[in-house]
Amino acid sequence: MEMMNELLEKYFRGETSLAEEKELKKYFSEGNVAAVHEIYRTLFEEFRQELNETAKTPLKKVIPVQRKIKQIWIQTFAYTSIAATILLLVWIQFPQTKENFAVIGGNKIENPEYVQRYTEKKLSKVNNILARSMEPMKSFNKVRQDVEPLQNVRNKMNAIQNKLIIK
Amino acid sequence: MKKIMTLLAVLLMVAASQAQTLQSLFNKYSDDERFEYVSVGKGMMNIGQAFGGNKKDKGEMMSKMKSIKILTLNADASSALMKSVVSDLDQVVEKGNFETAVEARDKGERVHIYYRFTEKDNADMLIVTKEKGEFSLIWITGKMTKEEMMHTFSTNGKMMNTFGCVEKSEEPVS
Repeated sequence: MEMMNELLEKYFRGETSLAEEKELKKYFSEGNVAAVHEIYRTLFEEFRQELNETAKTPLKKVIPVQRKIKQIWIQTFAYTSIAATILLLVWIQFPQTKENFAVIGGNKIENPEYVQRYTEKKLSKVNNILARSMEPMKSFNKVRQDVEPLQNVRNKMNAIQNKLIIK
Repeated sequence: MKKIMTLLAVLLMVAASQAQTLQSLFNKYSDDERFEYVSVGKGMMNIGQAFGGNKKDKGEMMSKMKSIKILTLNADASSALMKSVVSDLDQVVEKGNFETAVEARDKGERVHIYYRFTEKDNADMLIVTKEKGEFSLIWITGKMTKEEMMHTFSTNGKMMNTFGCVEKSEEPVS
């Protein structure tokens, strides 16, 4: 009994040898357990039952993969480079979310109305120059439209002439 | 892995070189206090669309535009700065595969419109206006086909009508 007490103390301190643990298991499985040790019986009984359990699916043998340090470095560098490239491309594609602003005399103005009016003014100026410089084209189109009925007359005359020749 | 890395690097360089020239021109001068710089994003163009009437064509064109950037310099044509900007612009137009769409001149005012297409119908339109003491560079980016771009040039003034600027009197921006 004294010996079992010592063995149990050693066991719970994690200092028992495999032979001592075997002795403890044997003691608790034989049924001749002292009343003071009864509380540990379920614990050892549980261990015994677990020993008899079998795996339902086959276990895979796990072998730790020892990769070479150089290989790890190359992979890390490659993944970092790919991530950086993707980030850079995304940054190029989506430059800034706050895109509406004006910089006049070094001062940044973020008033949308001002920005819109400024843009309209510039585009309107281009429009005016284009409209003025394209004015002769309008006259040309007008002449072409005026001449169009004459073209129809000419076509009809040709048609009549062709009929006369055939006859 | 090596091949993928090389391919990525080449792709990145190509993408950077495509955007670089025109973007770098704007970057170079947009922070300069002697220039006026305005940037309009997609959001504001949608606002313009909402207030700009209900014309179908106009709405469709606005939805294709991504951004407008305007760079303006008020300086004498013979000044060193003006010469530098014009020289930089000439290089951008030459190296950036731009094609000339319109060249117009009226009483000392000149308008040049250039355009180019990059992959997947991404279009850049560059409008350059030169007049006495003022030089403006308008860069419009959008997603449109060559046919749609040509359609904007087909009628006099139609392009600007797209943006809601129909023959307005030139009020000063305060």
